[in-house]
Amino acid sequence: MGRVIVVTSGKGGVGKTTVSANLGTALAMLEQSTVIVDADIGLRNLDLVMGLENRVVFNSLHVMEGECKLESALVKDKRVENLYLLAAPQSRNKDDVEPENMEKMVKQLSEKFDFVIIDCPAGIEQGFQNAVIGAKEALVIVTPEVSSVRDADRVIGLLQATGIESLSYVLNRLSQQLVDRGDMLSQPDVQEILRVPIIGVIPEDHHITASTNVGKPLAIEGGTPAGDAFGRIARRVLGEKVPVPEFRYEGKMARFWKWISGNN
Amino acid sequence: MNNRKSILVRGCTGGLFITVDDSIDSKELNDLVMERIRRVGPEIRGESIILEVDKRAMDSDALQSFQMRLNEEFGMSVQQLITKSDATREAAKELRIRSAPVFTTGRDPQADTVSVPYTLRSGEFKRNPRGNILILGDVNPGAEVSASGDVIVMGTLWGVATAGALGDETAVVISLNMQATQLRIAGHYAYARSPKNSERELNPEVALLENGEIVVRNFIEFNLLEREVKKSWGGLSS
Repeated sequence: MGRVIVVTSGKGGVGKTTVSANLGTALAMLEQSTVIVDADIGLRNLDLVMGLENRVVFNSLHVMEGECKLESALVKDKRVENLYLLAAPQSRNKDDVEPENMEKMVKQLSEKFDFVIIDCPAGIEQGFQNAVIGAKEALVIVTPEVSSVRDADRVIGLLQATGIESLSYVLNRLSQQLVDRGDMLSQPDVQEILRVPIIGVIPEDHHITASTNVGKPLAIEGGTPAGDAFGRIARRVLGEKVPVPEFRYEGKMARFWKWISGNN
Repeated sequence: MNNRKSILVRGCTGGLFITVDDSIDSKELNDLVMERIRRVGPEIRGESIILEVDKRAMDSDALQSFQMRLNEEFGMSVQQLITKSDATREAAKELRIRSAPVFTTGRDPQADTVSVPYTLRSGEFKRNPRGNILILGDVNPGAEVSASGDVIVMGTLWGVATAGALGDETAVVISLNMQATQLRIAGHYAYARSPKNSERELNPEVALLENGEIVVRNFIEFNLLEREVKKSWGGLSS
């Protein structure tokens, strides 16, 4: 039986889909067979972020309603071994999903794969409930903003009330420069409220925007701050102890010297 | 010896609240009460006592001997006498002990306290309409807690707290770290103070109503019992 991890946040726009895509990719690159499931029925995005839009024929609702076999709905990523996507329908809505069918499908997937990553929709309504139903583990995505922390806190409370066995959070889009200036919540600020284990910090990284737009997860190639952070999170998910590096803001001069010395 | 239930000793801030059932023989009363106080432990030495004796008639001699033993053995004294007996009230008056027929502070010492053994997260709402509420954790931003009596948070209070939800103006909100978004006591409101940045030290504080306004005070320097006595005393005609 593989591990089923739901990626959730409550608040929208904090990076659930980006983390799902990149974490799934990073796990697959660590030779874990992985499927990423888009549970955002009606607002499917994951296939775009992963650059697999044009290869989606069947989606998860087809599987749940018995219109196709599970195997034929899985889209294999050609860039990364062991990586599959199960897309969501765009033209239906969240009420069309029967929770029992979702649970059955997730169970089926967990028998085939080492990891089932479920990209949860924003909100705490039926879509959230459906996404969470088959999962044993949860990653809560938080950005260092008051509103995001508030919603994450709510979601953690809801998750703890369901059958989630293990729960940790990812602090996304942290800008050390803003924290140093006192303009952004720091990791201890967030920790003080959430009080669940943190599994990783992803620094604010402009590479994400480009990677999302071209549909190529940053985790595929190393060398970017965020891409490397996803790799570390994947290793931590596998139980490795990977220290959190310090994210330092480099001013123009520092970058210049680094460039001069060829040490980049 | 079945006196366990007939003498009830409860702790309150600043001392003990002792209820003596009328079924106890007057000759035994002093010994039994002293023994019960002794069982509470040595750390209560020097504190004050509210004594509730219901309809029992005590003359001033009996009361005085009780006071003296209390003082000798524990360095304590009776601050307030709750009694329905006129004779006992007269005796109390002679000895200059405050007395009242019922506990008049509006704070029911027998009120139920609901204990919540975890942190309230955003969106959670816990209430106790029949007494106090005790949170063994934090009340996170976006969470809410409400009680007809006191609200006690053994952690950081970030959310919204309502004490005296049914109108008890003597109700208080106590927290080890008062960062509340909003405090409400008996229909009065107070909004958050300007946020104290990076303050992670615990600083127990109590919020209470004073002249129709909610004020927040250091809890260590604050004595609840004194306030109780003052309140009940102020409510009496004599």
